[in-house]
Amino acid sequence: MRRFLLALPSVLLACTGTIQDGGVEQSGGMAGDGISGNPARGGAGSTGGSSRPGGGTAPGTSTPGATEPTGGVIAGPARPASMAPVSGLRRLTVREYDNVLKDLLLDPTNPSTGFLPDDQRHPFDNDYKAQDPSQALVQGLSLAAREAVNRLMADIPRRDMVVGCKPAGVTDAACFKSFITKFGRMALRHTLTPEQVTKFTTFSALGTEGADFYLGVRLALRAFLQHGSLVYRAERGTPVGNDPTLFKLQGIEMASRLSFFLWGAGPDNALLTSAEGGELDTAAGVRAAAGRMMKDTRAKDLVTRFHAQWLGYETLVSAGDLLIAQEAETSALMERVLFAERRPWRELFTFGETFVNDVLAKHYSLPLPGNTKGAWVVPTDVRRRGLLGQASFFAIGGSAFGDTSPTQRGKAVRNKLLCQVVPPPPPGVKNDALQNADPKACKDLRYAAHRAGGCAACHGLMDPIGFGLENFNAFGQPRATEKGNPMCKISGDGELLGVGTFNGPAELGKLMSDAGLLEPCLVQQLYRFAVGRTDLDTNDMTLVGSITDGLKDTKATLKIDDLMVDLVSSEPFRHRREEVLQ
Amino acid sequence: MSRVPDITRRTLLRGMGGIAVGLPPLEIMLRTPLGRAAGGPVAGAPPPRFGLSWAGVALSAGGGGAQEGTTPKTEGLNWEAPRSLKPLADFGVLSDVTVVSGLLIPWADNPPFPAGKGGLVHFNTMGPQLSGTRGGPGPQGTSKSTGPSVDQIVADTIATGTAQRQLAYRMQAYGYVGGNGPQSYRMDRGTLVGLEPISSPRVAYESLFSGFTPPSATPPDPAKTAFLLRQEKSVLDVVADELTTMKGNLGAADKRRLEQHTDQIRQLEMGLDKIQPVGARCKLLPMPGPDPAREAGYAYAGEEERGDVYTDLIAMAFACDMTRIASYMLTHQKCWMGLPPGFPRKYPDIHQMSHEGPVIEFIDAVGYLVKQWGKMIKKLKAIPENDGSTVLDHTLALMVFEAGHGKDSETGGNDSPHSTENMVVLLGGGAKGAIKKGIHYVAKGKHPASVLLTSMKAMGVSQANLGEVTEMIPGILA
Repeated sequence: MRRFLLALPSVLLACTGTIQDGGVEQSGGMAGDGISGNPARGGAGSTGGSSRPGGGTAPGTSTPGATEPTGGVIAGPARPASMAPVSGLRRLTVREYDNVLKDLLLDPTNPSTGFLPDDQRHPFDNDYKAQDPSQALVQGLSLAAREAVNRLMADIPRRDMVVGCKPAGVTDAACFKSFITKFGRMALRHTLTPEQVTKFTTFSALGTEGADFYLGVRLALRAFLQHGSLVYRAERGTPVGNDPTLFKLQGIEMASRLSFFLWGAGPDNALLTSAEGGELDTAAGVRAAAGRMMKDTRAKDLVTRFHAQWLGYETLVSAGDLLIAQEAETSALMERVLFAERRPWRELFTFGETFVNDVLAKHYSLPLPGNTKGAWVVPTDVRRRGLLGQASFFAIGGSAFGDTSPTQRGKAVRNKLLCQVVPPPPPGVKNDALQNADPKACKDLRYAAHRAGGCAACHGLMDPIGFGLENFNAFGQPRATEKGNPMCKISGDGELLGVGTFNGPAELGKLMSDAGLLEPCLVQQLYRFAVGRTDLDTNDMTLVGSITDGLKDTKATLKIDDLMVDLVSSEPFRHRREEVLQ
Repeated sequence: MSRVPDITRRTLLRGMGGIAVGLPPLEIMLRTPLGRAAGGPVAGAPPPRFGLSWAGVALSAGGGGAQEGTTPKTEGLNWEAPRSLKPLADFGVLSDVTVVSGLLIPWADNPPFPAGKGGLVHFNTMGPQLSGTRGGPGPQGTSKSTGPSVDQIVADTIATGTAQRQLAYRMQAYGYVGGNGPQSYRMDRGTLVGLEPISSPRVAYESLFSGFTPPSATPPDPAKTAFLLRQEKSVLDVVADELTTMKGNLGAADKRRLEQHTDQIRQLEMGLDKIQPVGARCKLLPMPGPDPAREAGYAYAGEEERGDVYTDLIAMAFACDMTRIASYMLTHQKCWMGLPPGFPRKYPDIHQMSHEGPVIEFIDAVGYLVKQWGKMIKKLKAIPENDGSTVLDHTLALMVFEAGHGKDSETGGNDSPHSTENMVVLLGGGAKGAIKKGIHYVAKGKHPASVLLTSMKAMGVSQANLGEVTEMIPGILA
């Protein structure tokens, strides 16, 4: 029960001063090796290393890793197919649609961005429950498709690669059919039915009428790019036993589930071939395919985006060169820790080096690396370590009313990193005490009211965390005194109630990491991202709890790719449960 | 007097016969087919039109402090425009705009009041204001409407027989921190559906004109025009046909989602078939060209240029009776819109400026958004109806703001723009004489949805409530 609750979206209902049953699991024996690193591999502690943030490999290629992801990290009792999550019709996100067009049309220009309505964030962009089809969507798709096809047709070499054959003449039916068959399979993510081939081949007649083979191609492409099977991920599956709501995903459905979860893009030819050959009908086959896919650059992009959406730094409150530098810093950390060196996931929060260019180093008051592209450095400020020491993190929910708010920062840590919900003040609570406090008083004194009476229980869970991060402003810059109050020196002492004390983001990261507090939230959010649903039902929560339980002995060494491979190859994820119409 | 009947493009093509045509298809469509005389407003009694705009900033009156005076100081007629409403004076439309101030959305910890808000002022006022409902869970921890919005309720009554039920646009180019939901909601097959606005001028243009051939100096012949039309239809036919096949294989819930998509495809097909009545005011607007660039971060993304296109399209569509409803969202909740040229660059966006900048700069930013709405009012006022009135006379266009001024229910602080006290709603046009024009009316302590409910009634809606709100504000009725 204790571990089960760990995985649930903990709601600190009563704010009794301690986190409710199971909210914190003490596991000091599983301390990560944090900032020790391996200098021989350019690891933490090394001041040298690459001058580029990532592996620099082209999209769609694999990055050599020391070992390959094979999963096998989730132990515990079997999770049967009957625990399959509910799945519904999922529209591709704007990013996914652009990725698909990049693969299909060899067009890296994000053709739909700007034309399609923005996806809502919940916090992820793929919550199908929030996807209401609209005129903005359908008209946007129509225009995006037309523009992308027009550009393709103007680029003869690219056009020829996409079409795949050179017509002998305007009426070359064989070439047209070959194009329809091959392109259609990749676009619709399954081999076209004979009826579909016939239907799409009719476009060639318009090409013939217009005396232009490529007119037919153009029209067929536009129809493919607006096709329901491309725009949506429809899963049906085959019925299982006597349960009318339980279905086993077919191979091609599994291929799409794999590719969009692991790549944020459609299946490649190899994956579709595996699916059509029956290889994705077994857990072993799915595991093998997922292992291969996690080595692809697209998986890195996906994992980076997943974290950005989860933690809320996807769009940062800055602009220009600084914004670019901040994004590069965080992406570099992800790429190096999770992929290039395949370190335990929790090292994201303790890693010793960070990737900065001159702009960001100046922003952080660090020695300039003398490099506009950036370099790995060990920050001279020992409080700045891992993701929590980056401007990306400090930009999330940490400020209010013109300065950092210890309450908001503590709330953000609880909510985003620990998946805990601190309830709002109960009815009738007046917050006047804080606002009416002397604005020239030091912050600790101004927040004193939070430590008294009925406020103390909830604020004790938040404010001490925020005070431990006060030595950094809302943009991640160090400071010794409070904003507007130079006489008020900041101690930076903080506490994670019931776990321990800390000073600064490095110690907070290590504290949470060593205590094993972060992985349950990772599992929960990864699950949401995978199923494309924010709201989790009872079955979801049971499954998430079971997975979290299964990580008991592997948390400290857990690698993100292994977790993702295990997740997609599990029985529940190879099945679906039919959504009940409300 | 009967209205000019719609003419299908097929009819037009048949009718043109062998006549040499010197314009591309769209222009042909909107000119004077079949020799009918051009000119004059749309025949028949001018139809009613309704507009709803929303901005994620605070406009307030009262409450004291530095923001005092951002709305009129005097009540009744002939109010003097304060700084935030100065653009309306510049446009010469003060006498067409009524200001209702002193409005209040009660907080969630005050249960006797309906349609209250909870938590932050940001994200928690749109539902109460536009739908008269308490908010439900929205994106990023926000809340959203839990009932249909006022524009959609009005649409159910007045948007009959037009080519488009409504135009739904958003001036802010994109959600700088991701989309955080539309302003309008409607009931569709028993489900509340968000009406995602178009945020691309090009998409907006095409959705109105169903354009597929840019204007060209080369005269197309009818056969070519017909061939182009067949090409367009062939694409949509296949897409629609395949959706039908796909739907047959899905479960009930998924089938319903796909039906909403199919509805929109049908709308595209109808756009190819239907020709609007034409006249001196019904012209093919020039294509807007590429959308202004969008950049990462909070950079200005040409919102004013985008807004100008939307304003033109709304005015054109109202004039031609292509639609009677405009859901024109100016910004996202909490705004976050990048500052336009002319504003200090030290703030990343309008919202941040409201926290860090001098109040006067924030008032100017609010005025900037009022100006964008005012452009629409000005344009509608400039279009004559056939009875000597203007389109604006038959329109009621509302502008609603996320916040007012006064006590901040989150922090307990006073003199704050993060408040649901002293909120303001602007009403442009007279709703065919049903609403008093050009007055400042103080409705102290009344719910903003009461203004919207009164507007609904002025538009002829029989429904007696807007969500949970049933109280009207008779003082603004003519």
